[in-house]
Amino acid sequence: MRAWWRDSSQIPWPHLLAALVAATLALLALSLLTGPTGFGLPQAEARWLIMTEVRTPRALLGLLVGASLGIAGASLQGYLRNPLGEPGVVGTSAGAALGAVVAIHTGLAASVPLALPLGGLAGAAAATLTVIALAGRHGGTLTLVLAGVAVSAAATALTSLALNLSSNPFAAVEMVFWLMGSLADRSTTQLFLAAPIMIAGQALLLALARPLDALSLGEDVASNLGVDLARTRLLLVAGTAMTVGGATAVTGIIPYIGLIVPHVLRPLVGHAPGRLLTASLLAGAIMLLAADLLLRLVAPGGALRLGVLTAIVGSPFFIWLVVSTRTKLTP
Amino acid sequence: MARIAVRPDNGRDRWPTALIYEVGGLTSGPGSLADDALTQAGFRNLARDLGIGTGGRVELEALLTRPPDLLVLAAEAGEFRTVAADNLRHPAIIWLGRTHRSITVPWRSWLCATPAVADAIERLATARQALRGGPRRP
Repeated sequence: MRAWWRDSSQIPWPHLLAALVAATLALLALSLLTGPTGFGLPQAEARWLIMTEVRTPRALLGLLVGASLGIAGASLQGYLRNPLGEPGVVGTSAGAALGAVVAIHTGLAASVPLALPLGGLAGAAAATLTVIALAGRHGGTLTLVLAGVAVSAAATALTSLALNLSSNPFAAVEMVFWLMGSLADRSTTQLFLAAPIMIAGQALLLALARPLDALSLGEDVASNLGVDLARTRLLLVAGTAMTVGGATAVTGIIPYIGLIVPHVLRPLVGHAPGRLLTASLLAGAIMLLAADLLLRLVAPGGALRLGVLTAIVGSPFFIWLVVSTRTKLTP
Repeated sequence: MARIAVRPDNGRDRWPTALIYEVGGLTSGPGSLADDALTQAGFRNLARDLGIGTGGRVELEALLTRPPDLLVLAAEAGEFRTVAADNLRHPAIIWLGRTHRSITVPWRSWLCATPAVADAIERLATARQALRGGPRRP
């Protein structure tokens, strides 16, 4: 099973990896150097505060949330062997938002701050487990999408129910936050809450590299190669729940990053699911940081939300994917 | 309503500035009741300078780059248990509250044109008096 894909690879792996790391670091620096009025360091009495409490959490959350969504998408697509496996499509994100909302409105998040990302994690895990139970690895694309739609709709309905029942007049504003995520005006409080959980989840998902490579040869071969299928599923569910749960709990739902990134990279890594994980981790960060930069340069003043931008870019891509896989979808 | 005395309009660009900061980073600009209240109390609404319409968002960095002479918070940070109010708990707003003048005037005071608006204007006018010592010239 060693390197059977290497011949079809277009770019040598070390080169691709180096390019992705360089682009990630460049975009991180650009993000720190961009303010609401354009490019440059802040020119104000409070410039230190702006750098540490406004721009740094925004840039680092962009990095970590993008990486989380990218690797979660690559893991779900690899494990489910399904091109439409994505945290937003399979309901993981909607579940995470529900978990975070419950944590906030029961008052748990106010008394135990860590309850916020843990609530997101629990919601994401519940949604992912439900979809895997409904569709599984053999359910086919159509079953997976239908299961994802059902779980997403249920989670979104319960989120709006929770907000309706809560005693605050800002339910509509909050619903917008959860449905259309944003990095604007997040603070180091949210960064420190979610970062450890996101990083731990990314580490779990990176450990899926070998099992996913083996699984791409079929379950029997994978078992013969010593892959523990139950452990693989546990890693997948825990890893996606931690990455997507942590990310969504502090930024809301940012759709389609996990869908687009693995698809663009797959030919570049020679269709190797294991390498795709590392590449998607970096490219997810690149895509989210770039989208957030574009947002600030094209629509200054925070008029456009990040989740709206990725949805506008991602929807045509999703439709194209549906069209290109239609032969498999229609029985 | 006799308490709401109309002030002369001249020299408005030398008036001290104020900015309303609400849950979700929202603010009120020209054409809103809150904007009229600021004017009546003798403040120039910074939202006008920032090019914000009747209602809009003000980003934290824009607020920190050019803080108003008076920051008018429309809610207490802990008043509402919602992510929408995270902006009021942001370290930058806490810093602004410590280093600059700020007051809290509940948003329901000027959500609708009720007699409560008069109370809001009175509180703003009191804050305006306190600023007399040295309003920042724009």
